[in-house]
Amino acid sequence: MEQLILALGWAGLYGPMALGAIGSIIGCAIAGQAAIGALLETESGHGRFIGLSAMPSSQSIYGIVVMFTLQRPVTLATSAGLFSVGILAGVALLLSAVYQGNCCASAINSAKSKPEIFGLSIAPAAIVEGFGVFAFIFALVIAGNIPAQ
Amino acid sequence: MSKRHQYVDLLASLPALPVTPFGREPLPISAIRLEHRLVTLSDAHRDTLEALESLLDWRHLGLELSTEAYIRCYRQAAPQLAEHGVLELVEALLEQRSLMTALRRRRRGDPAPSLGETWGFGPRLAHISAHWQAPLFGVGPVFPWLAEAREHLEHDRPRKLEGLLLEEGWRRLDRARRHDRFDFREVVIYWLRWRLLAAWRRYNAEAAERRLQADIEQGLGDYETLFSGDGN
Repeated sequence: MEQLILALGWAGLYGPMALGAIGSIIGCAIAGQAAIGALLETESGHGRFIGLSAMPSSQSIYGIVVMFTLQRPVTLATSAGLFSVGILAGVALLLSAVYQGNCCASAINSAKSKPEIFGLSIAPAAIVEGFGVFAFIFALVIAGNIPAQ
Repeated sequence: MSKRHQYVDLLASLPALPVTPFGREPLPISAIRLEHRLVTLSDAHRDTLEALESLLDWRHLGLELSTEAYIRCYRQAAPQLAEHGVLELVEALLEQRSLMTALRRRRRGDPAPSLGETWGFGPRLAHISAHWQAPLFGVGPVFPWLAEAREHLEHDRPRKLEGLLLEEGWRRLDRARRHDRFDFREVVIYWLRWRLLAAWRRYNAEAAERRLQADIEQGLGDYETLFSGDGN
């Protein structure tokens, strides 16, 4: 039982990084494919499509920062806190990256034939990013309450 | 990649279709280029699209095809279309054609189809037969375009009727779109909308050619024989 609790503690420690990265992989792949498709149909503005498709990569960075904030000895006293905060923050980052990728793909698909809406079409992706930032910030705040040893 | 995003690159590479099919601008993508883009479809989806094309394109079916034979073709293709989630798109179109068949048959003075007769598609065939003498077969509220279609048919306005049916098909496909999805169904919706657009452009070109021919003949008047080489 003790081993299981410690394993969960380690999972919580690495969780935000791993889950955030998984989300970024999926999100960037979806948006990236949309950007590649749009390149075939547009004469200019290619850079901004590729740039937009990289938007879901920020969740990986948030995950790394949360992981370092949570980093402390994994003991019976710290495992429960590490698991709860780490995994929940990781799931939130994963979902925000995937859905942000969807928003970016839709934005690219719409903006390719109507470039003037490009700025506005990014708004939903930015809103999704905002919720990812909430999860990130409050994971940092709550991590301060997990025992150091 | 999930099914939901299977064709995100393909759909993003297709130009947006116009809001209305009746504009005068050229097709946003030519048939050859569209065909070239659709090469990225998987083999199963490619087969499904071909099955769909052979079901909808009269060039494949031939004008002499009987209703029974057509229904056999449909039943053969239906499981494949259902498996890939595009059957309902075809069914709506075929039901529209059935309603037009009913209007034309009644105008011709035909009696109501008998109970066992195979004459169309859709869940309302029996209802239509039972209400054969009602102006809109008792399905007017379900198909709001039917009243106008009947008007055009009664007053011999084939061009307006064609436009109405095309607009209705266009609207139906537009409603069926799901903007957050990039799957095969969305590819099929794009393809069907493109077909409607191409059909109207072609129809316009043919009509323009006929008008031009009529104007030339009228303008030439008696000189027609002179230019045809028959005059002495």
